[in-house]
Amino acid sequence: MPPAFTAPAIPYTIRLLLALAGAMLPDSARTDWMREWYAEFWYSRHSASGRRPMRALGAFADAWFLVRHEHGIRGRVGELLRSRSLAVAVLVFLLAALALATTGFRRSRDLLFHRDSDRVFLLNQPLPFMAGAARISPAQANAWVERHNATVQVLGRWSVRERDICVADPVAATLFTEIHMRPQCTAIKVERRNWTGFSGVVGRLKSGISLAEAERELGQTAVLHRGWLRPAIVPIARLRTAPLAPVASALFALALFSLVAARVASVRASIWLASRIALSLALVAGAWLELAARAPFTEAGSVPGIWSALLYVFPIAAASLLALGLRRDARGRCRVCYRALTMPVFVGLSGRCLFDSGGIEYLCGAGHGALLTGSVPGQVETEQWSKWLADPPGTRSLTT
Amino acid sequence: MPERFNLTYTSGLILHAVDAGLSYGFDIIDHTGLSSGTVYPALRRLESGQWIESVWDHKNADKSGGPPRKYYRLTRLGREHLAKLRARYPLLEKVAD
Repeated sequence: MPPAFTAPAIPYTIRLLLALAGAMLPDSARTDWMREWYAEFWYSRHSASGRRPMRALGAFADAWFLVRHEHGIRGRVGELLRSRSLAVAVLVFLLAALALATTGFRRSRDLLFHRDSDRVFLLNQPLPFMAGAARISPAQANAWVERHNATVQVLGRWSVRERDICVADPVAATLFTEIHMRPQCTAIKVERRNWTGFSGVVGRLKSGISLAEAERELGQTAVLHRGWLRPAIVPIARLRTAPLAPVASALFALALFSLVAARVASVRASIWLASRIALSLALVAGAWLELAARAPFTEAGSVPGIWSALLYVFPIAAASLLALGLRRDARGRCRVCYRALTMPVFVGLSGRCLFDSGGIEYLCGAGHGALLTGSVPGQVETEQWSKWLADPPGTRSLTT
Repeated sequence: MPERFNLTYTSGLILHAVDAGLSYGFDIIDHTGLSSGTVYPALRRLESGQWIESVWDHKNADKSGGPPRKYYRLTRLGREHLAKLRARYPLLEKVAD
């Protein structure tokens, strides 16, 4: 048994760095490791070469090397991650944590399923995710409001000129609170006054009036047309949910791709795979909802350009990476039970090039089959080098 | 089973230093001019490949009054590989001396 470690006197900065680096190591390995580094610094301090504090930085590389290679941390983590049930459990946990710890789900639900979200609209706001914003003058707004009392109920006008959002109706105030107008206003005020400056109009379609009818009437109001600008009625829900259809379609396509590309050969394996795909993509969708709920609005009611790009690019990029990862992971799994393939052994004769050439065979622990790959372990990742053997010769006795 | 790894120039420098009697980690760093972040992981790798072995030096510690220090020495396998490395890198001895 090694003697107890008594730290020799070395500078405190070096002690701190060694302690931080040593924290990476398991307890069983840390004492010997500390003893070696402390001794080197002690002798260095008492030698002609003097102190070399920067050398303590090398302790991090040393500890990390030991963690990865000697103690197999990466291997253990990888093994755990390849477990069928643990991966699903981790995904469920992450999904639950995302739902509970963030507000995106709630906000998105409120917006998507708000009883008024498709009937309350902003007038004269361009569609989101387009550059520029057409504005409406108070005179034009008044003309429209007076003309269309039959189809719409005006909740009020809003302005952000004075860092406050002013609206004429409490319902509109609630909506503006929910959609997080930008710039971050100091208050959302409900007040009735004569609007003289720039304002937008927020309204609600009257009962029995469809959006198409209101838009048709809007199109007939010549006073609102300025050149090529055509004011639009934009339901509030659409501002947030514009990327919903393309993003959902992309996620669905990627899910199908993952399912087909994995080439599973049984219903059981399909269920394991489908659960992974569904949970992974649900996680992306959840993160996207959170992102969408946090997207601010500009003064003109559109979503800023960078957020628009993010709302499209993030979910598709993340889901694509996940789909590729799932496809790659599935290659190293049994096509019948979806367990991770293990026990790699060299088979064949490496000297032969055409027939029975050498390769590595990965075996399913339950004996459902084996994956024969090229002789380099990494080749399991490349499809052209791998061949699934449903009933590999000579392995039945190993697994039954 | 010893780990297989490449016969690199850095491995050669370190093995050569150990063979020359520079057996402590910091002595190897001083001699080779390599950083501690390079030398120590390389020493671990060489040790796991059984090219070198480490021993705690208690005798010198008692004499100097300092803590025991770990030193490294070549194994038979290490000596064989060092010979190969010297053949592959003829300038190794000149650079390292």
